[in-house]
Amino acid sequence: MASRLAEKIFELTGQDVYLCYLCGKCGAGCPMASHMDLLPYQVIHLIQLGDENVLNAESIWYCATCFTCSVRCPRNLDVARIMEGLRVIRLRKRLDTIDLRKVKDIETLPPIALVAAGRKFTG
Amino acid sequence: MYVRIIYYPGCTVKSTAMGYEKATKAVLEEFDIELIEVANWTCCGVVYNLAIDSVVFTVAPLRNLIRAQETAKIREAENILLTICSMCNHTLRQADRRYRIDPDGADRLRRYLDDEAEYEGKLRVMHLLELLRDVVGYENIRRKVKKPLKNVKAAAFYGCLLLRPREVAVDDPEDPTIMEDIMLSIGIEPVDYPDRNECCGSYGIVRDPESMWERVREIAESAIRMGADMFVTTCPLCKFNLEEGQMKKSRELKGKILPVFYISELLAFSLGRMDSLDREVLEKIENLLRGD
Repeated sequence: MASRLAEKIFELTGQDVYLCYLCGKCGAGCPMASHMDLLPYQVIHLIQLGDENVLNAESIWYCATCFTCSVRCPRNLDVARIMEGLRVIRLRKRLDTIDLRKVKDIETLPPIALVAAGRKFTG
Repeated sequence: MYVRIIYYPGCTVKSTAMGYEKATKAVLEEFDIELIEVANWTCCGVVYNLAIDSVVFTVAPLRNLIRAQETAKIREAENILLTICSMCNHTLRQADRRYRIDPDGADRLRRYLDDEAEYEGKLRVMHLLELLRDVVGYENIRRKVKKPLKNVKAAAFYGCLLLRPREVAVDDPEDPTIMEDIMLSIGIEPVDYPDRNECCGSYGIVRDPESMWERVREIAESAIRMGADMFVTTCPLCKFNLEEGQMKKSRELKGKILPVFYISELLAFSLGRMDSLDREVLEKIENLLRGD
């Protein structure tokens, strides 16, 4: 039976996490993997199990939506979209992961970085 | 052959990457391509939201597509919308694709944008690299070269959004050649290195800059190991991160820092359009050619 979280992810992203057979390819190729507390396939595994603690993982914010995992998944899962689903669950509750007023040296950052961060990290 | 097309600049091109636009315009002038800027363009949104029920994040790029379409009609231009920034290219293409394949989403978007014209979906959003490949052609570039960039090796840095997801990619996500092909046509020797199509850390710099610098260190080490003298990119955010990250990690990189150029700057130089380059950029290229 599908977990509640898996159903929510399906509703938000159209991705069926139960297709994942945990091969680990997404984690192996992820450029941000060394900063992640849970690798993408571990994130997916917790969604399969319905463990809502996954929503507190740092990994979902280290994911830069570069789609490397999505183009490589042998099960054709859009892993980047699943990560987005988890972020969206938090951001739609206004649980931001950064406070733009507290960003260091904000004036040195180009608009492209600030607008992107504003849209990916705040709700 | 004279072609008039529509051009969407985006925020960074008009602020921290003005040299990129200037060089691009000069290069395209050499091939009789006139750029008409989208009338009243706004921010493209930079990133696209992947939740399938998201509407707000598609509004900004779609509004720009509509304004581009209307500009094309008024100015009698081809239905080609040129983007030079990888991230603008990505959001505009994602919005265009969504409008075409998701009728329910399109319907909701139409209601949000009822103050704009109807989007007809006839535009082809084209990145500069594709324009050079498909409209200009490598052979035509080669014929116009006045000053080939000989004896320099460059690492093309594609980053993420030019190549992924597959549906909106400018080339093969795993084995792209488009940037190398252009480089070859102006005499530059491309180097192959494992990080060329990987992400630079992107907007993560705002949240955890250290992780991004670490990412750049890996990329720079791999490019240096393969003998690169410089990075070439089309993304203002990749350029910023590559420069910033190499500076912060200069000790680990043993002081070897690769300059980062927009592909248009190198093209402008080789086509003899030094007038379009900032002095600092010109000096950097000349230094490289001298082998400094």
